[in-house]
Amino acid sequence: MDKSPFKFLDSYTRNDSDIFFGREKETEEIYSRLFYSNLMLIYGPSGTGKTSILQCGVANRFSENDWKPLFIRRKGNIIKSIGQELDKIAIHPVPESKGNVERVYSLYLDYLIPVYIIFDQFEELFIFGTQSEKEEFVDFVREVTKNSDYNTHIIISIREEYLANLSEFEDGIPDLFQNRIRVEKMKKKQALQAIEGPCKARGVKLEEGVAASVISIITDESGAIELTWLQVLLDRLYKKASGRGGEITIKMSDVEGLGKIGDVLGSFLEDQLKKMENGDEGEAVLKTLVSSDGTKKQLDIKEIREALITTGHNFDDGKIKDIVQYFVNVRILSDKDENGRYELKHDSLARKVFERLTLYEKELLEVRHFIEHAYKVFEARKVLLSNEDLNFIQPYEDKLILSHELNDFVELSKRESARKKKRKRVVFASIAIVLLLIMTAFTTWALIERGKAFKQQKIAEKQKNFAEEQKGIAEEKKEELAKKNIALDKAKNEAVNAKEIVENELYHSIKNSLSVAPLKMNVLYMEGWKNVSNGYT
Amino acid sequence: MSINETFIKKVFERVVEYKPRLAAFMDEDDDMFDVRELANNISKTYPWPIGVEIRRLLSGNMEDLNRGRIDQIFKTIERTMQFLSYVLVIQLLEHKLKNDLEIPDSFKKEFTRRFTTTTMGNFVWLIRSISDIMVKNDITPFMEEMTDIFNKKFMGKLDFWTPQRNELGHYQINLSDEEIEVRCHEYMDLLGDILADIAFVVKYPLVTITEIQLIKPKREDVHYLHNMLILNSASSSFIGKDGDFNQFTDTHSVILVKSIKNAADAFLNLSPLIIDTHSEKMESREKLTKLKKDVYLYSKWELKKGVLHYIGTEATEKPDMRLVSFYDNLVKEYKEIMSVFSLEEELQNG
Repeated sequence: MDKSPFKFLDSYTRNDSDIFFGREKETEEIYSRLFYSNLMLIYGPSGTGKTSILQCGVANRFSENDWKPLFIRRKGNIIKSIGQELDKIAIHPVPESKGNVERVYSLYLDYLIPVYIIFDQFEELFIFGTQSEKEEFVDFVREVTKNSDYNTHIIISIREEYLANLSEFEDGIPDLFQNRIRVEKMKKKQALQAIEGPCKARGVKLEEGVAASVISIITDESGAIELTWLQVLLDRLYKKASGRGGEITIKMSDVEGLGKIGDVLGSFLEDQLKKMENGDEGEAVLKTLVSSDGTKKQLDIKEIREALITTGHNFDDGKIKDIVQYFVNVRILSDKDENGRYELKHDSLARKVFERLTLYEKELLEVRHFIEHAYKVFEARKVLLSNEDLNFIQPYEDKLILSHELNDFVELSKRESARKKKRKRVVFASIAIVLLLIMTAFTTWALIERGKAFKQQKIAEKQKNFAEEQKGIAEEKKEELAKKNIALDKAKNEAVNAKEIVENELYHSIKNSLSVAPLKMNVLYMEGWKNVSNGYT
Repeated sequence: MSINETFIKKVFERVVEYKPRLAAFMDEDDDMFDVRELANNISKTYPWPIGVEIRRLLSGNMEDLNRGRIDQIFKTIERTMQFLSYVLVIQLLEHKLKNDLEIPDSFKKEFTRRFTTTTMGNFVWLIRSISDIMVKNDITPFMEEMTDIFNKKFMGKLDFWTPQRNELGHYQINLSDEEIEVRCHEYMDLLGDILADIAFVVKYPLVTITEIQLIKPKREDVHYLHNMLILNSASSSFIGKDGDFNQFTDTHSVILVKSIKNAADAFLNLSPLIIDTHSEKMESREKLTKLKKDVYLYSKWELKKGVLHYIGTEATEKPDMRLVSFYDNLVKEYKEIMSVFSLEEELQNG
């Protein structure tokens, strides 16, 4: 039985409560917040012990009748993982046709204990997951949390670098950010508890000043402690002390014997690689187990082999198994899970492996990751690589040796892209011909119409000339008429004048006549009579 | 049929009498029902302080017949007694304050001692004594069914537990595995009887009033919008419900009602004996860590410090209830109970 008071790079579990120290405050706050709502978000830098706080600290705050935890990692697909984990502990299996929400309810009925589904290392969904996977996840969380009958809590634990990615879930899960807590790196006081507490619990003695010296080695400028470094150092010191036999005491000389400590994890990794017969091969295997983001990645032997081919290493399965087992033994890798997948013990180690990648290897890794991600999308929704995607891959194709599936996928994408290009050309040519025909027809029609227009123009001009002639005649006639009118007016005026003169004269003559009337009457009378008599004669 | 199935069936059949819609879970053919659904429905129809203990008792971790199960049986019966006695204390208080009721000195003499530190024996005493007072004074219990059920036989069933608890609870005897098994069967049977007897409690919803808003539209009568949490639930994510009433209930209160629809017409405010901190603002870290959001039951009065103590229904540690915003009211209400039901000299003696 391992009596070590330290966990190296493993997370603490419910059974480690006697050696779990330094996180009481965070544990208490998370425990309190779990009473706020059935959805909670925990975030913080990598290596702050979020998983341990949940698996050990919080788990031990609940009685067994009030805490049924399910720790879920994404593995290949988060939705499938939820189903698998639920099925694993279900008493009454739920038919495959039923969804995960029914599974959750059935699990609650099986145990009648509040279910806590803890999504650990949730950033993996953003690094490796597909869009449809994310959408299904949002639906699942929304359904489970809205119905109190399911008596199920959801806890999402995520590295803070990926926190912003969660905002895309807010439409579906509006309360996502309401109940949240940030787990910060340990400070000196907490680290002291994390050293002294476990040692006391397991009967390991510490010489005076040991804890303070260890802390001073691994404290950064801001006063924060790198927890993974602390665990690796303490593990090394414990091994040395226990190797002496008898009562275990960690001495100051053990700490001094550590020498100059720079990069604790990097040195640890380097040491383990040096101990191998062929460290380069070991390094190549480790490099397959990191993502292009520098986080750890779960792979089985077949996947490791395929990933190795990408970087030009053609190892058989036996060799890979040997190397992997070595890393499991030296606690760089976790032993395979139920799906036969291995992974690095901690993201901090993944970061160290990632730092060993050359720039070109990083690029290759990124391209490979890109193709793998696209292949998952293709499997789910039959979406092939686009032309732009293929252009992105193209410079790396010579060095990129892919598995059959991925290779077929890329080839299929290329064929489809070529077919699309060809189809585009045909469509383009067809359109051009049609356009030409339309243009020709249009030109012909335009010419005909132009001829017609000319004719019409001539007729119009003739008509115009005729009209102008007519206009001239009409104007002449108008002038004549005007002249006639003037003449007529003049004649009229003259006639009027003449009439007036005649009338005047007549008036005067009448007047005169009236004044000489009596005489004239006589004359007339006489003349009359003369005339009458002449008439008779 | 397993020990749990017998228990579940016995209790569920009585629950269905008061909640007929649940009959749908029991198929006519008895072999066809899903016992898990019945267990879940029992735990979520009983008032939360009792229901949550029934859920724990029937949970997957209680499959074995061991000391753990015996402890949970005791816890379930204790919460049941506690709940019933608190309902009775509050009702008697309300009646006394509104009517001319003479509280016997014999009751008053005992009350201070028995109420400042609550135990299973004291809960039984409260149930019996108050039931007697109510019968003698012809007071109809808020839960009317109590009149018929709280008879001598029922009191006898309650009396059974305290000596058992004293014998086992304080680990005065060591039992063999076989003896524990026998006791588990016996206790589950008796607990089932009591829960079946008091199945009428499922008729009376337990509700937390988180907020009351006064609504007064122009030239219309005033009405009161109540934000409520329904405490008959499978989980502590209690369902919120709005109720628009012409009368109002009490803020910061856990009330027992005859129907949610007409909650303001007839209710019994169980404060300060049963309280809920779900609507409390946790504005400081101290409050956040020392006071969980939970439904709490009064446990004792610490005379020296003059502090009220409570136990959570979900939260396992003791809260510092002095941090709650309405703590002063709780103390005032508690002192009112003590002054009404205690003799002056008993009060002074503590």
